[in-house]
Amino acid sequence: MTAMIRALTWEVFFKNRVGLIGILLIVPMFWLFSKSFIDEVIGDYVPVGKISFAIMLISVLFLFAIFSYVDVNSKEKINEGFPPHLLRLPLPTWVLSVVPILLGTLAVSSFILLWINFFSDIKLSWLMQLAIISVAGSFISWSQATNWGLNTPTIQKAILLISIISALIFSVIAVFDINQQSTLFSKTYGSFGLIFLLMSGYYFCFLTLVRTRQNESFQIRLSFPTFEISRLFSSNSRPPQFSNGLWAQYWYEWKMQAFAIPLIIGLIAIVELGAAILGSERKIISIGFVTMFTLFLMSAHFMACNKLGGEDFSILPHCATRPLSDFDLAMSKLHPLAIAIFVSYLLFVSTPFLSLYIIGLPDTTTPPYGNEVVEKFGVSGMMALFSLVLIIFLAIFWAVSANGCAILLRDSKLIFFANIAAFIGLGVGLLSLMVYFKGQPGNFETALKASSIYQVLADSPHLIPLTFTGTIISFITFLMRPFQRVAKFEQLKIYAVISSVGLLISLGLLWSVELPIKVSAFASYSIVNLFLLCFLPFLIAPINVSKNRHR
Amino acid sequence: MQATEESIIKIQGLTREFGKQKALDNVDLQVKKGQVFGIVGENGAGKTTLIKHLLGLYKAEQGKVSVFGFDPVKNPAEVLGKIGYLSEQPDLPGWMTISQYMNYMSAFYPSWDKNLANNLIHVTSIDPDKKIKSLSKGQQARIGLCAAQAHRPELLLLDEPSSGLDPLVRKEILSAAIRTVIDDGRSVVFSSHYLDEVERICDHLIMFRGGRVVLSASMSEVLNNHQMITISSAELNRVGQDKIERLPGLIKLTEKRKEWYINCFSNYEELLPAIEKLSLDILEKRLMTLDEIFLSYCHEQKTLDEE
Repeated sequence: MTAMIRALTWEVFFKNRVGLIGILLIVPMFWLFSKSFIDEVIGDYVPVGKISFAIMLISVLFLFAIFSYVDVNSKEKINEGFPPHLLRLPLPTWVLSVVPILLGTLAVSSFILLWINFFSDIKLSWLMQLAIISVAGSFISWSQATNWGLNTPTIQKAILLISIISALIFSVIAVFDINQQSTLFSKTYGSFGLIFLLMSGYYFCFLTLVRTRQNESFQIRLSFPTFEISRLFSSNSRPPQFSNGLWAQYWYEWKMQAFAIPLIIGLIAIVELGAAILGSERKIISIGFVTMFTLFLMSAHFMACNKLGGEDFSILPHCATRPLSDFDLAMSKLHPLAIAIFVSYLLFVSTPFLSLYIIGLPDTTTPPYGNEVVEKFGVSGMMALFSLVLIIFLAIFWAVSANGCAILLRDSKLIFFANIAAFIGLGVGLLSLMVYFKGQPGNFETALKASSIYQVLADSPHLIPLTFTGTIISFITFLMRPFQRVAKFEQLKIYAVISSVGLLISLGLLWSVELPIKVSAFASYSIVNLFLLCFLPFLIAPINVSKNRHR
Repeated sequence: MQATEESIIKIQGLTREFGKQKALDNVDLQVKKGQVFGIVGENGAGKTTLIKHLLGLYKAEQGKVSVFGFDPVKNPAEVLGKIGYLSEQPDLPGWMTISQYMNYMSAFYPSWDKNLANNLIHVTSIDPDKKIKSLSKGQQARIGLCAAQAHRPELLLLDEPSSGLDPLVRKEILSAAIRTVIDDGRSVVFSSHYLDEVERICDHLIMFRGGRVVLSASMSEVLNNHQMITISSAELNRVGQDKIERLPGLIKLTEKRKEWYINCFSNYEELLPAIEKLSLDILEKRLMTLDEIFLSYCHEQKTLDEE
């Protein structure tokens, strides 16, 4: 057995020898670099500690990737889980699972400890060193469990992963006293948390391998609770039942792409909460901004594309040959997107509030920064405006994502690259504005008031929004004929009703607040435009799906 | 456009170009109810393009396509609901288990026969809880075939389904599947490179070359009316090649080891007067095999095009 373990160890190292040599070379290279360049040339401008930390972090992530011991199908780029040839080795399953985890933990923690020893002034107690090993071990074991058994995306697995990452973050914060508020109790709790994560990670790795080895048939030997938990780590789940083909296609699209949107937003929300625990209000705001931008950028692409991150927007033959009309096929993209946007939006909206609650507000009886608004419009006015803002943001999320998705469904390279360019342009523009007005919020107001657009808006608040309305209505009129070729207008009734209800509620909320007449007019016209844009994807998507499906 | 009562597929003057390349050139076709229609041709001859038109995945640039009396582009739901389709690359969602996939597929077809589906899966001996991506290409093709038949489609459309199957499965399972469909009076359109399979299963054959239909006839007509006549080189010189090339239904005239082979698509009784008129001294006369017929047409076109 020792010989076999040695052989297994050799394989783990030999398979990744290039990467490992690269990592080992980073240490002397950085040492030389820091001595010859950072200390001598840029040491006064750039803190060495930050560069050192960044390089260590990248190297550690690289090491994690090396030790996430999986076979990848190079042709189809599919994660095939634990290398199948190793399953045939005459080794007990616990050894098969423990060797890569142990090697990974040793490699990662040794690297971190060496780095800290060489490149920082921090002196770690033996308890802290043990904590680092536990963190590395927990992370390695859970990433192994993910790679070996959790590669099937389901919402339960997503929730499990989010919970694990949250628990890991909270434990690390408690053990290392990152927020400088840890008590002995929280440190103990954190240590136990880490040990629990390490053990449970290993246990699930073991479960996954047993299941894989015994060809998914071992569950009868397990007790009921273990069976239920282990279900998460198997490819099996109960076959779903659908009332008709459209629902089956919704399920397919949800499982294929849409679920990933709230999942990623959920992960960002965890980081946001982490930032909140660290007590950084500015970080929360910037993470919120990143969340919103990410959601904008990815959701349209996710839903329209065949593979996450790919450039293929053609409708797969498997889907194109389903007996569904072009309209239904288009809706099977838009409906799951709507659910994904809604769930993501709830996460997006609730996380800053939760974060602000965690870092503590001076007055928690009113929503954050609401005092000024309450003074001006009263509590009911504030609530109306707050509700209006929530609806408007949801509508913006939907309008941007759904229109992006509907346009990308055309499967045109030109549209794809134009879409990417538009988002990059938007991102760069917003960042530039942020940098330009950073620390001087008054500048923004002054610059805005001096601009010619502001003058036009102040003189005739309806002019610009009405021009937009005219453009959108002209576009809708232009789309009617191609739409009629693929579907009937009656099919749009429900979406027209939903958009109208949203519009009426928004206008009702707006008009319930006593705003200056010009502001109210401008806002009303803008809201009409926004809801027209919300309705637009239901016209564009079927046309583009039809073009894409019947070439 | 309503097709005739018997015709489930009606194609008129279908032409399709990809750039300068003509994938289909003025194709006319009619498939009747209960027919097993075999499509053969070289790679790139236009078989898959034709099938994609039937599925509505391609829009007719010129001409008309009607399946069950509907335009498959304008009425995809109506047409696809009656079709069971399996392609060379089954393109099944790998992340689903087989049972998930069958449940997913069943939702689209009100006529889905759950017992038939279960039986078909049982016959494959593949664990239904296995993920599709973990199956071999042949196993995926078999699952695809089960899903294509389980709703008892009025038209089974198979685009080179045999490519991933081993000879045993090809011979037994595929043939059985097709026979079941035919026995129920339904139709099959079947493209394949395996001519023995086409000969065994199909009752009508259509042969494509360069997007054009070079042969369309019932299988018995194809097999009984393709003649190969062997004459000596001296005989050819005596009669003259130009006269032989005017024989009715001549496909190809080739020389091999001082012997000339005349391939004709013609009833021998129709051919006989012309042969007697030339007083041809025939060394051998026999019916051609489907392989020989296929090669004759491909080669014949090439030779004529070059000339």
